[in-house]
Amino acid sequence: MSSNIDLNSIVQRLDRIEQKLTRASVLEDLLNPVDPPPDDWGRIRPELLGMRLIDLIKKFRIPKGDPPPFDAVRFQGNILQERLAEVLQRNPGWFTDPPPDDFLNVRVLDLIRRYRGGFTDPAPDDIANIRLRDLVQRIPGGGFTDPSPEDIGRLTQPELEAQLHKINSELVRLKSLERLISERLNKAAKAASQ
Amino acid sequence: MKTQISRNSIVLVGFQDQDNLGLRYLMSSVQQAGFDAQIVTYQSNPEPLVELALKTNPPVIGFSLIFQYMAPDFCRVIQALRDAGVTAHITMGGHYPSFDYAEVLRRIPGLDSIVRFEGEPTLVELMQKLEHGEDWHHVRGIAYRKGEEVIATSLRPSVEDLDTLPWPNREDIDYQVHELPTASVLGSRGCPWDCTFCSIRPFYEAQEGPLRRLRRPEAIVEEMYSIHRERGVPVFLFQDDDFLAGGQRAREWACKIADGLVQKGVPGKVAFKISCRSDEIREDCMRQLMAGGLTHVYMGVENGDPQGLINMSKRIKPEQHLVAGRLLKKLDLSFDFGFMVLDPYSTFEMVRNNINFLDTFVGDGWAVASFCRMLPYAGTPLKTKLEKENRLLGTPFEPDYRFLDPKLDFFYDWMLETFHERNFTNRGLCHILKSMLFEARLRLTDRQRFTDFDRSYVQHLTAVCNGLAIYTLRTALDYIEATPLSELESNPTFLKQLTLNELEEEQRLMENVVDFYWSVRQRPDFVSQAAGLETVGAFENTWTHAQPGAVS
Repeated sequence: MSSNIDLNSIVQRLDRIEQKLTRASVLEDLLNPVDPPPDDWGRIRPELLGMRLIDLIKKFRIPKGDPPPFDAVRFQGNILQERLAEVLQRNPGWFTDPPPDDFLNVRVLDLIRRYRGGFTDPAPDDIANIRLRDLVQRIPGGGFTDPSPEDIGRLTQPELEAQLHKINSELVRLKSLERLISERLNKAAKAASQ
Repeated sequence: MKTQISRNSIVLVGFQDQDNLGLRYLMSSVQQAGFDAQIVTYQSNPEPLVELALKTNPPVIGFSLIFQYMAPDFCRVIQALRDAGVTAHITMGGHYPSFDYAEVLRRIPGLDSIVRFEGEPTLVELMQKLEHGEDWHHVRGIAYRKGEEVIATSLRPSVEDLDTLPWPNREDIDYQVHELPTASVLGSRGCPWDCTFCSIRPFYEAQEGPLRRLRRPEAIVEEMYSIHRERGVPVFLFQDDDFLAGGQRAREWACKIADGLVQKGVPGKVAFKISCRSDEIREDCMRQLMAGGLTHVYMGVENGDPQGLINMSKRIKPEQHLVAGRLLKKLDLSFDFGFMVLDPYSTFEMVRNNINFLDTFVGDGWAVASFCRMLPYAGTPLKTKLEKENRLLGTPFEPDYRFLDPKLDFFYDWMLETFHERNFTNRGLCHILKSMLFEARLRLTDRQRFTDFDRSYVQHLTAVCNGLAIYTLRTALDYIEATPLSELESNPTFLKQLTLNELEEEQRLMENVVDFYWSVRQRPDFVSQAAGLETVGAFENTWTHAQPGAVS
């Protein structure tokens, strides 16, 4: 047994996935004339604008399933870095927090908080070291992005009302969080001035 | 019926939440008169009481009925006693049976008598008559059946000097069961205010005595100090109807209690809670009370709409509530409040003003916004008024009414369904957050485990809880007001969606609350004061834990 054999099998598996993705013509339907949310235009690189989504997926070689657990143990050096990069690409934002090298020190409680889904308030000890990025990354799906237009367009009236309730609930949370953090800032400023 | 009894004894049955001082004053009074007495915690299951009664054969059993709606339950327990062959003289006391004695006697045939209003001297005399086999039907302050007729004897004057009463018997209370041993204490009885929803003034007015009687501050301090020193209790809940009622004289009285505690050297080791009106909050008085250990204020806010407050005869304006709230926050003092978002004369505008008031008053999460509607309890001016208007519905035990606008009935029914768990149950956010806020701002030097930031965080969680409820209430009110009743009844989708969202958000918040609570408890310096007890992960509904089995 050698690491080369394992690597080959993984490469073959990735190729199969790539072929399936290439044949997945259904994805082409996503390349519809609907504009992506405005924020995306600001972030996307000019050279990518002309590319089709399917080409983008192929370019980034995104595996469909999670890499088997032993990959991370056996892979060395650049291969491991590449795998981690793939993982990060698949989960932009959400999975990147905390950074991979922190995982050995992360508490189970923190992991549960992060992966239980939904927008949960940070624990008090987190707020002491809070960063804006940390808050933003807690939105499920990663990043602070609006739902796409076609998603909103197909919602029924009750679903739209439900979305409105959820947005207002988030506003309540964020407003309170803003107050809490502002108070914290004021106290920190006072302490610094003394 | 003539029943001759021995010096032994009376079994007093009632709830024991917050010590039930009413029962304990009765217990010590009959004991002072030479009778044996024991207290048994009321349970809906009659078997333990039946077993005890058959085993000990007490000549008298006295029930303390606090909650009007529990009367049918008490009826079943008393009937079970009779069915089992218990022949004791069964009597009952409390606010509700005092006012509605005829109805109670009619519906609970197992009862022999009712002790009306202030019960200590009446119960003692009743027991003395029974002991000697004398005719007890002329004892003042009781009611009983005579054939189909119900007779009420003339009322006796109220106890003139409260300090002549023996201190309530607390021997069977195991205060150390709770991590934070907490005892109730009574400094006064009565309230001079005439709020339409309240039966306290009519209760004491009936005996034609002073509307509020005060104990001597020295005696109160001595009782508190004794409980603190001998039973290790650091937290006291004053159960006075209105601790500061009576203007300058009352404030001076209250401050004397605080001064007495200072002289005993217990501030920092003893903390206490009071109940009062918001217009009785004065900064100088509050500061003096805090020096003596004041840690928490319960305010009877009740309403945030000017017309609503007039309807309640509160004689106060919403702005005074806000001023009091700001002052207590400035003093870093925790507070809590009662609030009735609906009353029988509510309009949509009044309800909206109430919701907006809640937002202004506690939108920052300093206190939990819990709310209910006004109920026409027995003895209240409101009940009389609704009766006159022919609007009183329901049963005597569970009174009800319809709002003037039928759509408000729709709103209330929805509100009750949506917020029932949150507002009214032990597992609801209100109960849990109130407990945490109380503990977070507890002014006890050696028992405070919450850091400054913890306090801010609990406030944040409470603000979210309040904000969610306020949004949900506002949205529902606007929707119901704008929608025809027929459509509301035929298409409940919108309101169901709103309820679902509220419940889901509450669940998410509850996870935060529980995470946070346990993060505080799991700190190395959080040492349980109750040695040998395991934390069960539940919040307590009552501060009182009597030892298993009744102790005389």
